[in-house]
Amino acid sequence: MVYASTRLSRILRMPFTFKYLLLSSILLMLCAAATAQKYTVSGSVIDSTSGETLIGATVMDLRSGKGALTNNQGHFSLTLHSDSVFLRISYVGYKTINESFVLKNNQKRVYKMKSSAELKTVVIRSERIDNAKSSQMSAIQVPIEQLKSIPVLFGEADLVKALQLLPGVQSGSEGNSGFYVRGGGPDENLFLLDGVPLYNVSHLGGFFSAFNTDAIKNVTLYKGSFPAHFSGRLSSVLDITTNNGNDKKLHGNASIGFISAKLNLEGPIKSERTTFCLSGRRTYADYLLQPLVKRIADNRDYKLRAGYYFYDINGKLTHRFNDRSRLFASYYMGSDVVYTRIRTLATNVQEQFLNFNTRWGNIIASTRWNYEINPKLFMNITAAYTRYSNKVGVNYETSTLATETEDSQSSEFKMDYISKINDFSLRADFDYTPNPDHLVKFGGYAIYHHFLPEVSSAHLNAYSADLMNSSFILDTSVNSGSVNAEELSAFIEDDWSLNEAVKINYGVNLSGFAVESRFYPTIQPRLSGRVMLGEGVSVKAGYSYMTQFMHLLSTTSVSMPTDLWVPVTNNIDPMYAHQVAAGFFYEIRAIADLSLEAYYKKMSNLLEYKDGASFWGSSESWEEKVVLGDGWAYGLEFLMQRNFGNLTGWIGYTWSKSMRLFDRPGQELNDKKPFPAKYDRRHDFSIVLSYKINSRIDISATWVYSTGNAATLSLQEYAQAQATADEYAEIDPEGWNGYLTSPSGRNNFRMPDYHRMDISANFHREFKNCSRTINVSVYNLYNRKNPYMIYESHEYSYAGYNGALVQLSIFPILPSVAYTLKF
Amino acid sequence: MKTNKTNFRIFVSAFIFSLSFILASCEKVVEFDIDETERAIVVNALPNTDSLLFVNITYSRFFLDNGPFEAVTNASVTVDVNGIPYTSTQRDGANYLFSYRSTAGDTLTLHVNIPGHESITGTTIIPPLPDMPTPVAEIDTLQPIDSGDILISLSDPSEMENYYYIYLTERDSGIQWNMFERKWDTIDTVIHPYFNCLNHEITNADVNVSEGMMDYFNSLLFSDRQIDGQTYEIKLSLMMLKDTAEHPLLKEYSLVVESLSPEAFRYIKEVNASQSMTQYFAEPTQIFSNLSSGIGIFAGIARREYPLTFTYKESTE
Repeated sequence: MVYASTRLSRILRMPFTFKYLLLSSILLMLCAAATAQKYTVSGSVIDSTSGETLIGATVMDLRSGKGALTNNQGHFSLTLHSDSVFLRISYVGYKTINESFVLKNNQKRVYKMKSSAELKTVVIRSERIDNAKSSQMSAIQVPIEQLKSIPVLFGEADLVKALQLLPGVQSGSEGNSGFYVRGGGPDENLFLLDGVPLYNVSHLGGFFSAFNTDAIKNVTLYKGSFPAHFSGRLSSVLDITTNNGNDKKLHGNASIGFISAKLNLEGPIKSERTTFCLSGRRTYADYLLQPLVKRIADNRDYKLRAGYYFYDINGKLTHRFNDRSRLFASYYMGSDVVYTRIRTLATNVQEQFLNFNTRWGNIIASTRWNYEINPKLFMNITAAYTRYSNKVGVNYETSTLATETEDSQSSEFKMDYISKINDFSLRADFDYTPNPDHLVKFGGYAIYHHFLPEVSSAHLNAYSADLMNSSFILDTSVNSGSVNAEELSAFIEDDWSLNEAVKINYGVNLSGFAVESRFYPTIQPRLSGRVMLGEGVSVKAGYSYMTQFMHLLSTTSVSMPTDLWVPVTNNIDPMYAHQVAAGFFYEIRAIADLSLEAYYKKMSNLLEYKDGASFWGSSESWEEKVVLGDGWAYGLEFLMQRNFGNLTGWIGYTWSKSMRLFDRPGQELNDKKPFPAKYDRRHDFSIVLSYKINSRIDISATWVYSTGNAATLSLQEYAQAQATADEYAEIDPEGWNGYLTSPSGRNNFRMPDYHRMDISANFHREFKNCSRTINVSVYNLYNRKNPYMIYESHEYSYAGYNGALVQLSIFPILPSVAYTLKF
Repeated sequence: MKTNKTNFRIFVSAFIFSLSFILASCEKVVEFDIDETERAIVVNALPNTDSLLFVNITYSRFFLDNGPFEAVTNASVTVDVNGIPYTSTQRDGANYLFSYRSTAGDTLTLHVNIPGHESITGTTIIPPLPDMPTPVAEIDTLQPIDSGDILISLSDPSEMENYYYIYLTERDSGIQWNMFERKWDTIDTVIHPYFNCLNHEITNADVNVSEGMMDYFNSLLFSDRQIDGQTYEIKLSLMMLKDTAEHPLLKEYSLVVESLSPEAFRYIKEVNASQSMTQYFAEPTQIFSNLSSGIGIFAGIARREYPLTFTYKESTE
């Protein structure tokens, strides 16, 4: 309690300017909002078949030209002058609703939209939020149904890999589901699952993302110009909303692909008021490979069990008290497991047992309450628990029974490595719509973090009857120390239409992080705006300042359980980034939408391992192994997309540069010179096309090209210096025996360029009570050997020395089939 | 039923076959960009108080090439010692020899000029000699495995940054080594008792001075960051060292204590890091160089060698 009050007093003692800005921002927003209004139409927009709320649907009064969008809970509020109104409710893929009535008092509406017959089957499309008209730039909304049609690795629809095809988003290495946005690192992306941050977002070393597309309803990616209600990461926000569940009847789908099997069930519980949605996915290769594993051990003197699997489960319960109040309970659990168990059967006197088990993953449990306080004010309260953990455990036991010549002996050795984060959070969001010209969002959150970056423990218990029944017990634990921290944030923003042509979004996010003996307050202003130049033509610009209070320590380009999430500390300052962006948007009617965006981002306090340091092999704490530096990135993004007709898709191109500089005293890397970031790429190009042949068949293809990844290679060897005393002087005239290798710089080498083509076809068939889809896809159609890793190979043999620089490619041409049954 | 079982087997076989096909990696030899194969000039000199100065100048070699480093034979090499120039008058292969021997406190500036290359320069100061009496080497013969300690008492000068490097050498050859070679049995088997500086203890201060990683020689590299200006007792560990008639030591050994310039300290530290096992999981280490162009090192060392004499005792515990 004393501890908590100390933290609170420290926060209350925050700088005067911090409090002043908070108060003045609130006053400014309220003044802006205090304009005359009459009556308000509020409510929600839902799918008439499933009862699912629709996010981003447009409610527009055609007489006044005023409109509103539904928020993440499907809620809208539109205040209009008392008059006859003509509302048009529209949403992509749904039949537009028109309604006219005389507005004499506040009205409550629930609009049930019917899915358009034309768009019942899936098309590929990347949809920009309200395109040219929105004040938001650098954001892309991706309907989840569309992602499922994109050709993917092993036929496994993957949210993150689909996002990698968009401009400004770069993939990591081949097949990896990590992503890098506008020159940022993999830890600079905020993944929000129903508003709750998720730490580990991949399975199987990053080849698959942790998101089961069957459970997801809507995805929005923000690459810049972040609204003030987002904070906590530098480079992007991926806002994912899961399905609430069908409120009419039980529905589901089951699918089996090359790598995993999935089941999704949703429906009402007793009445339409309460619904559930439950999705599960698990890989099954470990079951199928068991015969092979057993066969390996068959002819040997041990029993072997080994395998790998991952799974994830999404569950959601929704209860609607009335049209103004809803309660949600969500649960997510995803984990990767690697196990090996070996038991020897050599003799009946000696037995050995080895158990190796590694498990890592997330758990999220959250409860959310939506409440419409009045027609203009909507509230969303979320309480959540998040856990990320990884555990590596080794257990080795050996026992020898007494024989004529030897006494009994036994020993047991256990070793565990654990890393954990536990977060408890409470968040409140309010949407206030005083009139159609303003949408004010305000709120705040508090998160209590408990970090346990690294704990290694070992236990040895040895017993020998030979040595007078002596026992030897050793328990040791190396603990980097747990860290508790409190993160607080308050925000306010206003989306303000100044006139028909000009709209701005301005706001501020005030965040603070209390850790150890420090409190890090930040004031993060946000501003973006758009000017309409004509019908469907606009220019936009934006500025955002973002702060991040935690880092991911990673030594490899693939996602591994050894990656450590660590907080800022007394010695490690928060990361922050300033980003400016400007863009041109043009809707060419009946042809396509064009956009061109430029950005510049400056980042500070980026964290890297020192040269030669890694998670492994040193008793130093993680703080001793890292250095802090700066970075900058700039680029140009082009997107042309077509959203309608039988042929849909997009062409995206990014020109970018991302650099790092570590030149602070004692924190130097690369001899204090700038160097390219790990995933600095000059060119990224992608084409995604889909063609609907008829209602039963659609086909799609993607082609991607990018500049090769940077890598650090030591290609030159040189003599090592030695001090030689006079009396031992044996100076080798040809140079000394020892030699060193040292790279000429960080990321001094470029791998060959990357390009790949994938194709897929979906075959749909309707039955009386169900439908099925067979997806056939081919990854890497022309079998391009793309680089996954480059390494130096040294081989010595009697024939002599043979060295080479070897490129490892992991995915050749890969056909796959997936079968989905919907009922 | 039988058909189902057969189908399942076919499915499993197809799955395993496909999986092995997928997981089979493809390797390909990458062509080099010619810029990456350009050789660099390498200048190495560690002027120390025990030796006449010499500067080794070679070309680097591309990692696929096998063979000795090619000597640079047309260099003009001078060293300014406290402002007085010394010029190399003799060359032995890649080594440019000087008649100068370093003294603690000397400031040295190296100039290397090679036709067609930029001039290479570097500066260092010879640090003060280590201040310590002859170490005591004790072996405890009652331990299950004969083990012992080398006890040293090092006096660190105050108000200046000092760095130390301690390791073992064979006295007759000067070879740096981490093991004591001795005869073990009648058929001349040689075994190697173990010396480990990393396993050390400062007996009069509760600090750990070790700077990072263990090198191949188990040497101890540290700065006086935590113990500036103090005299401290360091206990270094030995294992299986019992010099008996049956198992005599084959050679004599010395403990070498070097006082390092900051450049030498950083160079040795990064060389150790580059050869550490952790390197496999990390970004390759860029080894420090204080030369204005080219690679290598020019760094001062003050060196003292202490012959080891072992005494044997029975532990009292």
